[in-house]
Amino acid sequence: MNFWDRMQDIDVRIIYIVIFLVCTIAVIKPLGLPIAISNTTVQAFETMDSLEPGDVVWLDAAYSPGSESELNPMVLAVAHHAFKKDLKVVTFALWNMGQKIVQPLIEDRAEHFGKEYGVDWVNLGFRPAALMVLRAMRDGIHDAVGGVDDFGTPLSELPLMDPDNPNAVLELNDKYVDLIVVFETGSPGTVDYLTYVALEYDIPIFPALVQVSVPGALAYVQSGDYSGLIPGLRGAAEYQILAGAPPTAATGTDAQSLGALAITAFIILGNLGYLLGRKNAA
Amino acid sequence: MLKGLFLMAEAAEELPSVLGIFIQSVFVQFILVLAFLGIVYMMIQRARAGLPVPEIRKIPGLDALDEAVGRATEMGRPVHITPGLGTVGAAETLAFYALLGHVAKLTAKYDTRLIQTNRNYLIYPIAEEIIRQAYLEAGRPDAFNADDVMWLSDWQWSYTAAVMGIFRAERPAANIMFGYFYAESMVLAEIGNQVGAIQVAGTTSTAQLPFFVAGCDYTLIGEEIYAASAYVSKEPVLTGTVVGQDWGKVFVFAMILVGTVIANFSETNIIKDILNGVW
Amino acid sequence: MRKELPMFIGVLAGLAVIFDRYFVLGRNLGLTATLDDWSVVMDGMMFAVGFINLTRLHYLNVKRRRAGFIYSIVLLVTMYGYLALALYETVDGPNATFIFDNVFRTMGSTMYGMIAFFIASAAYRAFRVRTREATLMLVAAVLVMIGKAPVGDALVAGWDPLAEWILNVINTGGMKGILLGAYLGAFATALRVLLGLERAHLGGAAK
Repeated sequence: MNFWDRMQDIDVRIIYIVIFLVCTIAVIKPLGLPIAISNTTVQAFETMDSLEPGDVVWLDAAYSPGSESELNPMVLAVAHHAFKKDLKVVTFALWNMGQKIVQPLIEDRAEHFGKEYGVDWVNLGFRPAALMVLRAMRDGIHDAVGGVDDFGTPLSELPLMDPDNPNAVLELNDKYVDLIVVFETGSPGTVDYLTYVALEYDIPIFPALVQVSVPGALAYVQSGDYSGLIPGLRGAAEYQILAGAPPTAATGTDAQSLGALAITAFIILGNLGYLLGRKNAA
Repeated sequence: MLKGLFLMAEAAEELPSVLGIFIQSVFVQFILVLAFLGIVYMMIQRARAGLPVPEIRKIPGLDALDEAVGRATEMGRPVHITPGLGTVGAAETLAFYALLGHVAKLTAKYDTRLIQTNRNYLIYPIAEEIIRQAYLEAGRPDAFNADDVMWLSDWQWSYTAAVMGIFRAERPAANIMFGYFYAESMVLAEIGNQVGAIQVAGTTSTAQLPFFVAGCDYTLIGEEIYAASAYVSKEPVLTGTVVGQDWGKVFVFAMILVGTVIANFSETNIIKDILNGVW
Repeated sequence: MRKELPMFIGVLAGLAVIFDRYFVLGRNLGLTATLDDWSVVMDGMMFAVGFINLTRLHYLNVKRRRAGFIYSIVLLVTMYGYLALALYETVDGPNATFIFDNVFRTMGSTMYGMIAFFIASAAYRAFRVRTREATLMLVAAVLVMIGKAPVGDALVAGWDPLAEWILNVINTGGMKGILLGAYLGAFATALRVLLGLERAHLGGAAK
């Protein structure tokens, strides 16, 4: 087996070690590469930026712990932007761990801007058969979620959801909600909000997605169904820059850059091995 | 329901309607649904009556199923099949059931071990029944092993870790992944490669298709999985629906063409307005 | 009746949803809302069924001392232990939260993190210039992968716009086609269930 034949058949453990090393180096010693802002992120930012103080943003945490590293920075950035603009925030979770993951993130930004739970934001949590609950919330949030938030506090005790408050958020429709943002890693997710809420009531909506879901979602951006999109970890870094949020995603993008270069290098080596090995054999 | 009846008179005034019966905003969609239903039903009846119906083109991944099971038989190693993380009533899972029956009949015929893993506890008893039935129809009820049909976990990564363990222990020679998948698709495809399995995958999940294309020997893209059940079973019902949905596609393409032409000469989106009952 | 009854219920539920969606009377009757409420209840019940099923499976594993039965013991202890803990101090209690944050979340992230390594080995193995199509796939993959990482523009100005163009034009066109076909296919499958012609999930072939 000559050198080029070996290049076609590199032990996968070597590949794994190299990927591990480049990502670790990027985390320990960030490169600080400049990040160009993509159009979809700008569109999403401008959609939220166009809201007025007191408008309501509906956030959905449709993801699980596995996607935290990509989506948590987006939650931080969007929550930062929302509270900075004095928007009201209502959080729900289509996935059964999403509410636990986003709670400390939104709490952190709320504290930073002096926002009070129950007055400026509420976490409705997760409910079994979440899609059915989503549909039911269009006609009344209280009944749909059993009248309590994620902590069991009656919604009537939270000013943002109290029916006696004329500015309370009582239904998931255009009368009460001005923008929907879905932090999504799969299904159910933004498409379900689009189908049952956004299109029905003409409410702007945009997803914050893991990178693998971006190619499939671009069709909806082009058709105008989504008012922008936050694409992956890089999108999180972009939105953090636009919103002035703490730059927690930047380190990850450096690891992404070096990892991409390493994979490309292996692909090139493999192909050189394939072509030159074949040529030698001929 | 009774409350709804009571409110009927009041609510009826709020909803713009056609003839007071159909909701205006979705009336055109309803007509299209009926038209599509008619086409599909017509094709089903034609197929049943033995009349000429367009054939489904060759799908290499499906032709490879026989090869995959044969390879597993020769090597004396099992076949693994999974519906992924879809829900019990999802269209992809329904397509999986048909394929599962076909693969189970093959493994019964060749006396090859079939390991079927599930993430959804509702799919598990259905899959078990399908495989049992297939073995019965193949005349090998004794060969059916209920222990090889498993519900591993409801959680995505627990399920994936369990499948990885099964692959390391059992080393299947064929891995068939058919349904709706999420991020575990890459892990399953790669672990299949590491144990040297021939892999046939099919999913409608656009995010996972690239992983299957990179990691598997054969990949069925999107609607090909719906055609798969018709392709392997040759059932007239299934063939008829595939032909019907292709006619549906022709209609949609025609609408796209007309819409594109109109969009160049008009600022309004006439097609969207018509579909949404805005007239 | 074992197959006919579920089929009948499926057809009835499908008709109820259609009636609710397209007919004024159906919308006012709120049939879909009623079905949704039942679905919420069923979801909880089915979870209980799954829980019991899992217990039975792993208990049998332990009883018969099948290969790997130790892991079945671990699973049963973990499952019932966490259930007891959550019942005692609620799922938001300190210990339950500790286990969730430090065991479950980290393990989930670990499994998800493995994808990075597997992508590398899969890309290395699959992206070879064997055919024209494979070469096109390879070139597009490398252009988009580097272009969408910040390093792309740092290396060659204009790389990101090129990657954007591939994503927005070529990729989106293809994705629209795939999505269209998938949705129509799902629609046709739903129609088969509605017409009572789909029986694979009932353990039989299509009628």
